[in-house]
Amino acid sequence: MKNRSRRFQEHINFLNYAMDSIFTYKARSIAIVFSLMIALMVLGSIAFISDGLTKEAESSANFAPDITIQYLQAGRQVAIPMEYAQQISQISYVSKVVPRVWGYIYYHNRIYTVMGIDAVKMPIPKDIGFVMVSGKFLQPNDNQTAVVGNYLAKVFDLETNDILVLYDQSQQPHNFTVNGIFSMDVNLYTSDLILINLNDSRNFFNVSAEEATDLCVYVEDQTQTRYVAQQIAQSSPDARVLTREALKDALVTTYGARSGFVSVVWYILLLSVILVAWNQASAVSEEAREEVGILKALGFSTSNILEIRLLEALILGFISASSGIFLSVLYDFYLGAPVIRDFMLGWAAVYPSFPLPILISFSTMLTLYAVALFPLFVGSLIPAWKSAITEPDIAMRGS
Amino acid sequence: MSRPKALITVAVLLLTLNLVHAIVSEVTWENHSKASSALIESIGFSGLTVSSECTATRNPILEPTCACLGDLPGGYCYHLSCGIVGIPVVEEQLDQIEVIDQ
Repeated sequence: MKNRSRRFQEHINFLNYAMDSIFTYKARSIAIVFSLMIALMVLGSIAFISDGLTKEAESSANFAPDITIQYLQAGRQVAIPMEYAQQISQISYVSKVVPRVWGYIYYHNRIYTVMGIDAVKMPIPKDIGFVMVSGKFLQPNDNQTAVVGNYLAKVFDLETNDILVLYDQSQQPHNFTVNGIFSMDVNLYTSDLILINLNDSRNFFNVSAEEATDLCVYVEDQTQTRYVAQQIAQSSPDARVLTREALKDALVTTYGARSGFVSVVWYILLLSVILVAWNQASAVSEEAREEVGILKALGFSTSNILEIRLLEALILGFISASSGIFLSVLYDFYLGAPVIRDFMLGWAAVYPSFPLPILISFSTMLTLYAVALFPLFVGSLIPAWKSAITEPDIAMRGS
Repeated sequence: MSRPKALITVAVLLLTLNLVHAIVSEVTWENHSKASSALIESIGFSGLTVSSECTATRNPILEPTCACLGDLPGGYCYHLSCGIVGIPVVEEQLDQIEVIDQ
């Protein structure tokens, strides 16, 4: 017991010595902490936004229709004949098939989405009022009425009961009374959305009653979704069958940081930090060699010295990671991620403007800490080992 | 306070702040999805209005931030020179929205 306590005290002493060393080699410590902190800040900022987008997309897909059907011609989506809806509704386990008609309109060379839904057949929850900031959601008997997104309402200075005049492709005006405005909570989906009734949408886009843009299929028994999807795919080979799971996978892949930009930035930063750590650890090793000689003459073993050096790396990595992550939280959460935000939102034409979804998850935070510590260990290990194995007399003579 | 102690205090403080932000973020997300779910159930599925689809989709570096599902409502492209669901680059497109205040 006494021996264990002595050992523990020994490690505490090494820790204190390592902390003193951080202040002794100030230039090295500042170089490592600063480079790692900046790297972690950039990485953390992108990772938190990427996580937010992925989470938002993934959770939204959980509430998508069981199956969404689109019709393909020459590999592109075109209007789907309504006879498909009748065929699909006859497949076992299909509860209902609901058509949607949606498309895009332009204003100042920017695109807005006009979507027509069947307010009778769509499974509208009772608490839909929560997503409205003013007015009400689309009602089954409402004609020539629209519910618009919060961002769109701000851009056009719209209020409920205002008249929204939409011009169709042949520039014929269609008047819609604004009956409701979506809240900011759903801005990520509705910022550019003009929601109208199905028949109004058919009329506006000149889509006949025999066609729809896509079909939402709802299945009675969730376990039979795959079976129903297979049946639809077999009976309609020219249809694109998107099950909820397929949609979720596609979205996670699209918004996830699985590959590409985030990964490339990640690898470059990791490599840079390893190089900085290696460089700094090697630079001070000459200076530290004399110190190692004295320590060894005082009875320190090679493993003791290695432990001190690695503890230094651990402390520097921990401080760099904590400060880098904290800065990325400040940058994303409180400053709204300027620059990165514009890049994530769009390209040359940055639009629309709303806060990005930001998720600061424990798993990402742990990964960031690991990423900070790993390169420092790698970059410090060999210089520390070389310094630790030096014979005391050689170290003190400096030859 | 000695310098090592100050260092430890700062590190622990930063770690605590980071963890608090993570807890707040996770809890906020739990409640946030309720609004989104009600909307998505009501309108079917709609894409996030954030990404763009264009030639960058084939670029491995830009893929995660530029790829999107163009055949979903709201999944259009913001890239000026994109030809998929493109914003016209040759001429100005006629405006299709007007507001009459009541």
